[in-house]
Amino acid sequence: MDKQVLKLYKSILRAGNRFRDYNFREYVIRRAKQDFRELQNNPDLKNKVIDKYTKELEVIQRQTIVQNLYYQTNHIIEQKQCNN
Amino acid sequence: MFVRALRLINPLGFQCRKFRFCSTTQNKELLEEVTAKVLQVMKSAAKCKVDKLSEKATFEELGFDSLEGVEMVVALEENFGFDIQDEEAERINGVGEAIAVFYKYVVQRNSTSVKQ
Repeated sequence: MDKQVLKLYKSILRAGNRFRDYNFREYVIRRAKQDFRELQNNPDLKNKVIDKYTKELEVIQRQTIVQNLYYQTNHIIEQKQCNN
Repeated sequence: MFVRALRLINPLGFQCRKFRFCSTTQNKELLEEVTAKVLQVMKSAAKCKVDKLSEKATFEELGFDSLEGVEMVVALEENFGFDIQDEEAERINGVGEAIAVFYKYVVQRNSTSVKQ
């Protein structure tokens, strides 16, 4: 795959991991994985995916700051993972 | 008496030899720790061919494509608790390279924390 695409993918995953809220984090990472997998199977979508995720990256970076200000407790799934 | 003479001639050099011995054993333990962590993260990937997992294995041998390679690097960054530079991350194509890069960063972080 293209270096530019891989770099963007890594930036999206890193930014998504910064969400402290389980739901937001998992959603962002899951959607990114889905879309980039689709790109791998269908290379014609390259420009569309790059444009979309270049804008999305800025949104995710802003939202991590805002969301983390209002984060309260961790999700019950994370609590169970901690206990295990 | 010979030791006292050494201290007078080169007090810092005498001390440096002692520290070098300590840091070698510490670095060895650190390397083992980093290796164990990297292998653990690789094992936890669902697509990983565990029977081929070793310190010399490449991502291709383990059944990872380029996207999964990136996911592995990000998972390692999460596990170790710090981000690595993009240029170094691009060079990681196997377990050995991952161990080398993350070991280098861990040693750097340890040395900066000791100085503080």
